[in-house]
Amino acid sequence: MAQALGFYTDTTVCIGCKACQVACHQWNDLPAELAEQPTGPDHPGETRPLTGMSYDNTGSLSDLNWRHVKFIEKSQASDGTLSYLPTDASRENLQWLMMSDVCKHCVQAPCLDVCPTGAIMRTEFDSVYIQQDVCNGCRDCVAACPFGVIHMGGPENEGKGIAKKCTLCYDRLQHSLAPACSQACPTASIQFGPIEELKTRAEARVEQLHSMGMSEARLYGADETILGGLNAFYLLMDEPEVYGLPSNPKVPARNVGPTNLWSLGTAILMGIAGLVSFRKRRMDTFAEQRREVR
Amino acid sequence: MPPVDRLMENPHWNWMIVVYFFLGGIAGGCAFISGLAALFGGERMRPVLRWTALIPFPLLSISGILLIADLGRPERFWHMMIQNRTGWPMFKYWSPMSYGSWLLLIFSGLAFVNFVAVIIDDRQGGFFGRFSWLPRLIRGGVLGTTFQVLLMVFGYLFGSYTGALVAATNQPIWSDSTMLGALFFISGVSAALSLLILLVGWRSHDHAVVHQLETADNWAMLLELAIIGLFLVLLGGIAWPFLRHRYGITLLVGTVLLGLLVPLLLHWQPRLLGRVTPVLAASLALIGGYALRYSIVYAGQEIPIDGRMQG
Ligand code: SF4
Repeated sequence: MAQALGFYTDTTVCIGCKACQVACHQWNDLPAELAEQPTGPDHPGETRPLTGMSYDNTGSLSDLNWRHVKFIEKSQASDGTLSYLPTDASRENLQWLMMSDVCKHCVQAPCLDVCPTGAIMRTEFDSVYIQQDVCNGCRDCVAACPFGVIHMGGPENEGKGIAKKCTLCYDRLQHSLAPACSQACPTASIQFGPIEELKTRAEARVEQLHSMGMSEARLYGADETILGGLNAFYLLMDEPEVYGLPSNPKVPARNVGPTNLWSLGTAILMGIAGLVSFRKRRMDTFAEQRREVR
Repeated sequence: MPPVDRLMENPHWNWMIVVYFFLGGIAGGCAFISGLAALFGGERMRPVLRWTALIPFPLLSISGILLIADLGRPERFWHMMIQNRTGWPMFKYWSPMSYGSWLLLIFSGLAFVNFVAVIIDDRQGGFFGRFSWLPRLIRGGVLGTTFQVLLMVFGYLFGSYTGALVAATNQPIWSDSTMLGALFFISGVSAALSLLILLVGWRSHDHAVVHQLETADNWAMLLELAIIGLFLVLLGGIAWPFLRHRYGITLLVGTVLLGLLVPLLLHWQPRLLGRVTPVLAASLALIGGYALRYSIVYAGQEIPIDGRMQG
């Protein structure tokens, strides 16, 4: 395998311009999602309305949005109460947390683990890639991914479709080009490169932020504690949950052994119960008793 | 929790999967009971063995159709078994969806042989007469015993793998417990026993056999109650948000009360409601088995627990 490549996203410098989203759509030829647009002849080509949640206009990752910039408006009143609602009129000390979300290309990727067709594979760059001609749309990966990354898309079977997500621009990597989003990011919030190099850079940045008094700065997914490491890891300024990231995602296969052990124990108990219930002699005695009663 | 988008996506495993889990559970349960009856039950169990041979194959056929119809690309269903790029077999022992596909295939094959043997037995002579060796082969001797043991093992594996399938995810409730394999298996056994009580009671008047089935069903239901209890205890803090939700109430009312406690009471007091008592008990137990699958399958996808899902 060539060296592991991926993203380090420094959320402190994200300005929410969505250049990464646009670049992703352009390079991957993904149409804008028009689902919530007003339709009809009076609204030709109208731009997509905002969601009402800050400056967010795509809402979440989807089969067509492989990147999504999250806008989290956090405020803290003098009594310490936190608010995240942009519509809350009494907000104080507003802090804008922005984060460009994407597939994490996990080292122990739950989606890849469970995929029964082998459609999801690990590339030579250590990224996680879905082969579109192999996926049959079982959706096990959707249930497995703890980040809600994979969505089903395509015109097949009433919109059930097949699994779609960020490819880490596999086609570009094969030609030694950086992924479109990182190339487009004007503030270097999304940095692309060899993971080891990115980690060193990220650790230095955390130290710098700490020395500036921002003790809340932390890395998410840079070490092995989260799914063996995330090849798209983050520098966050608050708890992961604030950004909609789980603090303790699980490797699905860990449940298989214990689940099967409990099943086996139950089957043995039921086997003994069945043996006791079905014993031939017991049945004959019972039939005999009934005859006598009659 | 801030109003950012949901953490988990919903795989939209809908009614087809619920029905599949239910029918597959009965098929697995039937095969498990078939093995027990054949190995320990003696001659008297013949009517039971007839039904345990007839029931699984049609149920598994429906299951296969449902599973394929549920895929985003149904015509690619075979990618679960054969790698379409290389032609090599596709198998991952650590992925329940992968080994479950193989279980379905092999178990269906065994169930088909068992099913055909009964048909051949019924229509001796003519075209079927030519295959009269088949029932003899799988019913007697070492080969017959091996066949029954195999059926029993595959019935158990198939009946329980669906629990491992939902556990091997990151969805709330499903992945928060390791009891679902045991629960789905035992509920399948209980549902199969209830179905057998209905069918054997309808076609044969051997009360001893029906009574033995009821005895086994009582054990299965008591085990199921214990496992549901353990499941809820092991869910810990999230048991309460689950039980408060309509899917939790479905489990408590549909499965625990109507599907387990009432049938147990009716087995204990067989004259309580006159002649309909055993039929009612078995029907309620079947409904309870369906309610269990319905409750668990939807709960894991729709209940917003510790922020992982947004309803
Ligand atoms: S973030 Fe989700 S989709 Fe991406 S590799 Fe990890 S499990 Fe797979």
